[in-house]
This record gives sequence, structure tokens and C-alpha cells, in this order.
Amino acid sequence: MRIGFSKNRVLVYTVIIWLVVSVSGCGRAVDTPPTKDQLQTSGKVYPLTITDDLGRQITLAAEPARIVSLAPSNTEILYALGLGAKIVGNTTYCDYPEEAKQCYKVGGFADPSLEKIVAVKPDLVLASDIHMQILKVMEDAGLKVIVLNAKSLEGVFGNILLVGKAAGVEDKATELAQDLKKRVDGVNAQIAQVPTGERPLVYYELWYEPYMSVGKDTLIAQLIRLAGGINMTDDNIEQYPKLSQEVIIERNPAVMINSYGHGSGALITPQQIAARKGWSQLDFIKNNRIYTIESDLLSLAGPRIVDGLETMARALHPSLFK
Amino acid sequence: MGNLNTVKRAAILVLLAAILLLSVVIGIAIGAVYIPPAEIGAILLSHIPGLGEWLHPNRLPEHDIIIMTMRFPRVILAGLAGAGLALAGATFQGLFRNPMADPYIIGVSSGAALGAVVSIIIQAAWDIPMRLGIPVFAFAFAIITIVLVYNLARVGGKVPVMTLLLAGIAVNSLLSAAESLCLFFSGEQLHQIVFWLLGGFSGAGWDYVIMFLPYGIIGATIIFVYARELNALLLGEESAQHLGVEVERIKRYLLVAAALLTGACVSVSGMIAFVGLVIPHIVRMLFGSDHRILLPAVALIGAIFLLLADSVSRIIIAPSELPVGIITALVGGPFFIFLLRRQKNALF
Repeated sequence: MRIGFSKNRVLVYTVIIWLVVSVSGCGRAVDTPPTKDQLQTSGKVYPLTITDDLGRQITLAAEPARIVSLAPSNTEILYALGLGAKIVGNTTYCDYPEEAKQCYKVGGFADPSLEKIVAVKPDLVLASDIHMQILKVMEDAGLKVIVLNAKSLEGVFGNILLVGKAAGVEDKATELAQDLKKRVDGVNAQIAQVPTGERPLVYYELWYEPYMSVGKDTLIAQLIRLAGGINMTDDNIEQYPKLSQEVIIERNPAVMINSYGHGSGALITPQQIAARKGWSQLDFIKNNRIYTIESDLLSLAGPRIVDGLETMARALHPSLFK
Repeated sequence: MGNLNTVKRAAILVLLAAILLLSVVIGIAIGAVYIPPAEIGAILLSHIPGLGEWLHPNRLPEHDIIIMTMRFPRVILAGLAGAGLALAGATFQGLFRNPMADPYIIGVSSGAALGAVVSIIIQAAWDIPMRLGIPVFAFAFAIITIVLVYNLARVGGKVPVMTLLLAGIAVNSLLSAAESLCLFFSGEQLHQIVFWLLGGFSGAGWDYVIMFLPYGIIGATIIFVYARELNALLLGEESAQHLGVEVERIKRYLLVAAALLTGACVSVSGMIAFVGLVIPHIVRMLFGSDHRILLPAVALIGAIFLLLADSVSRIIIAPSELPVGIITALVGGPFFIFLLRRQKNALF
């Protein structure tokens, strides 16, 4: 900003470099160093040892100031905790919230560039279980890597607390987790009134070529259960079972959840579904009960998962949520 | 091309070695992050004991990490795997007297792939990251496969080439089926497995190089020692016997050596297509089929080819990486067709 008073080239370059480095965080917030007050309220003593979802112990020497997120869910947790300004790199898949798109991209979700990760000098990397292969090299490079791998709502809340603790915003994380839990409890209280017999059989369509749905131990199946539905493919042993059309016709589910977005590609309209050969007699088509939900709300293990739960509960039990 | 004299042979190999060295330099020089060549030089020199003390230009510590823990071992590993696959391919082609033979022909690779898949699934199921889980499992399964195929093919004291090929194909399809079954039930690990199967060096570190080296060296040494015998085997097993070659014993050694080499390559880099099949053919077209020149040239050209292909894979869609197997097939296929059309005489 003070380029005007300097005639010295070296100084100009120094300032430019400083500017580039200091705005490399991608939040809206101005990147100011934490005040003494903030340091005290965070109240956490570093070095701090935490245990991640793989049971690995990671010791952080100081409060992380430069964080790389290697998964959209991790990015969303960071923003929800107000840590967006500390993100110095994320993936091309990280598109929520809006400012996450502006962030420096270290590569794709499954195949980030190790070199770019190292080059932004992170003091904390939030990875996921898809990064098992490159975990070793990141560790060799001296990076502090926490692997987040939530497979349930409780896991998501646990991850929010874990990230909060690691990044020195434990209070905020506790608050966020409690808010989210309260909303889940709200849904639970409503759904508790629904007798077992009135819980609809739900077909969740993960993919349509071939038809695929979700098994019992997935996050989406848990959401269907909590939202007062019965997942049609709970009895499958696979996480993501491939289905024959005959099974869908035979079980005749009452509701179909149609998702779109990252995981499931382009939007398939209810009209297209109704036009599928042999499907016209299915209950959810006759009764017009196909609900379209953005797949990121149902499958990304971040705070928006509770939005997904609420949307699902409203879809399954419209009379309860008005 | 006929027989090349010793001087010419030496000249060719020196030239290839020089190209390989240049490829190593190129491989280290390029990547997703730009590092000035002068800085790379300084970084490399600073790691030579004694030199580091008085060399202190503006080296960024993160660049040091990128070069020393990522690019350098990766370039070395890509070169080693390229050499290993090409050498194994040349050996199998000579041994089977079959231009279709490649390092994967007797099922070693399917064994390794199944091992890798099993390791990925185990790691995910119990959430235990094993540092070298994939290469160790892959190599162990590869060795088990060799033993299995060899014993299936043995008739009395002999291992007829035909039986060996058939046993290999049978075991290959059995293992592939098991692997597909694992894939089908893998759920969230599917992505990781498919990535591994496509082949590549993105997880490569020095520990991979160290894992590869003993088997690589043993395998390659055995093959080089029996170059002359491989020449004799080209005339047919009976003729080789008449020339005083102990066919069964040599076959056994070469088979184990090539399989060992293949297992080591696949376990650190996944299934990389094309290198092992086509590099030997290309070298034969260039320098003839005398194994004394063929084998070292195949190793050098295989190393150069895979190393450069991996360099391209790192930068072509940076910051992401393209699996190197796609590049080897994409670049190598058309080049091979070109050579094939130009040189219309028989390959063998």
C-alpha cells in the first residue's frame, strides 16, 4: 500500500511479495494476526496432541495459521468455524461457501498435487481417507496431517470438535456442535411421534446407470432413518449396492429421494424418472412423491448435513413440519 | 541390423546412458510447482555431505522438501520401474519366443494387484494406515502367484513353455475375478483402488526405492548373466540344448528373475501398461535381437520412457495428476504403430 513513497525497487518487490503472501488466505475477513485477547480466550495450550479418525496422534507446536483442506467437507467445517481466512489451499471440488472457490487450488479431491501442498507451507493439513496413498509422503515432508473420516452424524460432530480443538477455536466448535445437535434433537422429537407403521419405505437413488443406492452403514442411510423413513436397501451388505430394476419394482417404495450435484452428476427430473419403462405403477410415481435434494447436503460430512436431515424429514413427513 | 560390433555396442549404451541422465535432470526440473533450475542445482548439491556447509544461496526450505522427498525419489523410482518392466518383458518374450508376451503374462501382476486391493480394503476396514501396506502385500501376493503358476505348469522335472503360458492364463483369470469381486464390494475404496490399478508414482518416496532395489538388482543381474543363453533359446529349446545350454535350469532362473522384477515393479507402481510389451520390440527394431545389446538397451530405454512419461503426467493437468499408465499407452501406442508400419519385416 505504501509503494508510493519508496523509490527503491527491492523494497517495492518486498512489499509486493508481502502483499501476495498476506492475502493468500481466502476468507472475506482481513488477515490480521490474532490479538492478545483472542489468544487468551482460545485458552488452549500448545503444543497440543490430538488423535484423528485413523487413531493417529498428531502434535501441533502452535496454533495453526496456514491450513490446507483436501476435502470439501473439511473446507465447510473450517468456514463454519470462522477459519476461512486461514485456508491457504483447498481442492477444485471445494465450492461451498462461495469464497472457497476463490481459494488457491492444490488439485482435485482424489489427486491433489503434493508439491503444491508443500509449496503453500501449511502448518496443518486436513485430509480424508481417500488420501491414504499420499499420507506417507506428506508425513515424510514434515507436514502435520489430520485425517477426517466421519461415517455418521456423531462422527461429523466429532470432527467439528476435533478441528476446533486443533485450530484453537474449541469454544466456537462446541457451540456449533451443540447448535447442530439441538436441530437434530428437534427432528428426533417430531419423528418420535410417528408410529413405526407409518414410516415410509425410501428409495434413495445414488446413481441410475446402473441403479445404485446406499447400504445400512452409510451417512445417507442414517439420515433416512433419523428423518423417519426406512431405507429400502438397508439389508444389502455393500455400502453402495447396485440394484436390479426388479427389486425396485417388487419393493415398491413409498418415496424416492433423487439427488443431484457432485456425487450424482446432473439433475434427473421427476418427469424423466416417471418415464422410465415399467415404473409408472410405482407408488412414489403415482403419488407424486419424488423429492430432489442436493447431494452435498446428504453426503458431505460437514455442518450442512443437518440441513440435509431437515430437508429429508420435511420430505418424508410433510404434515409434521410446516 | 545384424550383429553390432563391440565398439558400436558400447557407443550406443553410453549414448543411451547420457540420455537417461538428461531425462533424470528434466524429471527433477519440472513439476506442478516451478522451482528455478539454479535453485534445484543448489538444493541437490547441498545434500552432498561436506558441500552443504558452504553452499547457502536463497534456497527455500519448502522447495528443498519438494525436491528431496517428492521429485527425486519419484524420478528414480519411475526410471527403475521402467527399466524393470522393459527388462522383464524382453526376458519373457525371449523365453516364450512369443512377441505377445509381456511382464504380466504369467499372472504375477494380477497377484500383485489382488494383494494391493486386499491391503487397501484391510486398511479401510480397520482404519489402520500401514505405511508400506500396499507394496508389501502386492509383492507377497506376486511371489505366491509365481510359486503357484510354476508348480501348476511343472510336468515331471520339466516346465514346458506352453503349459506355463496356459497355467499363467488360468491363474491370471482366477485372480482377476477375485480382484473384480473385491472391487464390486469395495464401496468407498473403489476410487482409491481404481487409481492404484491405473498405475502411477504419486505415493512414491525413498522407502519405495529401497523396497524395490534388492529384488530389482537380483532380478536384473540374473537376466544379464544369461543374455547369451537367451540368444540360444531363441533358436528353440532343442537347439539350445544341443549348443550345451542347460535349458530347464536356465529357464527356471530366468523365469524367477523376470517374475521377481515384475512383482517389484507392480508393487511400487501399480499396473503400468505398454512399457513391458512394446519397449523390447522397439529396441529390437533399432538394434537387433542379440540379447547382449538388447537387454541393457531395453533397460535404459524403458527407464527413459517411463521417467519422461511420469514427468508429463505430473504437469499435463497440474495441479492434478494424470495416471501415468494412460500416458504410456497414449504416447507409446501410436509410436509403436509408426515403427511397425515403417519396418514391415518380421519382428522376431
